[in-house]
Amino acid sequence: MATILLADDAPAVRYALAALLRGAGYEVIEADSGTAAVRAAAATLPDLVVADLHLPGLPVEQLIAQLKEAYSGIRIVGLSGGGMHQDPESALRSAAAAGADRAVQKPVSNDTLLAEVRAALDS
Amino acid sequence: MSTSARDLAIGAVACVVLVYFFVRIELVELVFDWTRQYEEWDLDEILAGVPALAVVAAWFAIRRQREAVQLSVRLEHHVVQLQEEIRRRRELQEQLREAYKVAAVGTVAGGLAHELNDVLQPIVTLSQLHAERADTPGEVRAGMRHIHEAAERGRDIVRHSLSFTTGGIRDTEEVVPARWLADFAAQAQDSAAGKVTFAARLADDDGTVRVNVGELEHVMENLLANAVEAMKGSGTVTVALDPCKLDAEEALAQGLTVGDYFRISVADQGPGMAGEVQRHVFDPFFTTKAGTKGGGQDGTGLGLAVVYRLVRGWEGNITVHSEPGAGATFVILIPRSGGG
Repeated sequence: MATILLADDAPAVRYALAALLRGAGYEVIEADSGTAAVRAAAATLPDLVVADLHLPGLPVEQLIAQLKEAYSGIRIVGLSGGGMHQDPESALRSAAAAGADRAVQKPVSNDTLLAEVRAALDS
Repeated sequence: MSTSARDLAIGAVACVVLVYFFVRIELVELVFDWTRQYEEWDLDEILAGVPALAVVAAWFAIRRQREAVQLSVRLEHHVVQLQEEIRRRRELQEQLREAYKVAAVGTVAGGLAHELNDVLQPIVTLSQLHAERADTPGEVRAGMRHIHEAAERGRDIVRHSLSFTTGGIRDTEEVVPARWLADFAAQAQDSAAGKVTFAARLADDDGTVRVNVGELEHVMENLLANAVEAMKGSGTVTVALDPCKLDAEEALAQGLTVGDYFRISVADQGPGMAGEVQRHVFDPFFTTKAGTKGGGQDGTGLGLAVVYRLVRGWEGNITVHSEPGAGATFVILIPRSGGG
């Protein structure tokens, strides 16, 4: 089964999404920051990264660039919660522009996230 | 009693008193005796001069009077203009206040949404996960479903609040409202439930407006849903389209610029709304609906506030006209674009 790197700075979000993905049979590695995600990606070569697009310490463009640098075959699903200066739609657009394969808006439903993960892995 | 009527009365009384007084002192005899006494003077000319002078004085008085009347008419006109100006400025101030309010809510909503989405994510995920797990006891499962529904409702509220943030500038395109509304009304008729009918009265005009189609759809769906809900499931909703021109005065009253517009109206046959409700109907978080089973933005009090913001985003305006007992009509003005 595929390995997924889950990067989010909110522990409760990580706990919940990890439970969902593990329940669906994926192996999940967790990271709580952008830099930790890049390190973990280089160390474990996951099939897919599910990452919050507003991780502390690393802007989304750099995060995606560094993940792809760590492992060029990596696929990325971005999660956006929207922000002070950006509505969710434009956050998703900028994630796509930065090279994320797919992007969804938080809070994402279980079915949608699993469908996105499957679609990203199949692509 | 008016001033001129009073003056007339005073004049009449003074005239009677003077006549009485002149009769009492036998003025005519006095004048006659006096003229006979000094026959060598040219008294006839002087006496004839008195009525002549009176006529000239009266003519002057009438002239001055007429000027005074003209002046006061002009003054009145200025006063009316001034009052009108004050009224316009008050309206403008009101609109500014409204715009500030919406902008403030947008800023708050943007900040809150980011925080709340992270809060909602584990609730949405875990409640569904545990509601669907086979080993979850029935009682807990029911509780999880309720938590999940509540979290989804929270998510909907956050999403609609986000429509207030100024972040995304959406793509717009040229839309022919006559054609778009014809399709829209046909679809509405197809999906109409109960005893609701839709009537479309669309002007035959190929002109275009520049909008985001998704937003237009959102606005019209919201207005239609409100109309259907107001009629409690039976009656006719009339969607109308007319081209119109805004002159300086109307444009100012609407907070728009002078020019050509399309007027789209959605009229229901519901119970109408009181003035107080009309005043607040576009305010964020203002609602007359009781909390509903979820789904859509029913009862969040954001539906029409979002509609208002979207329409203002097209450089248009939306107003409501209603009388209690006589239905409500929402009227949208959208500027006619150069393309058509």
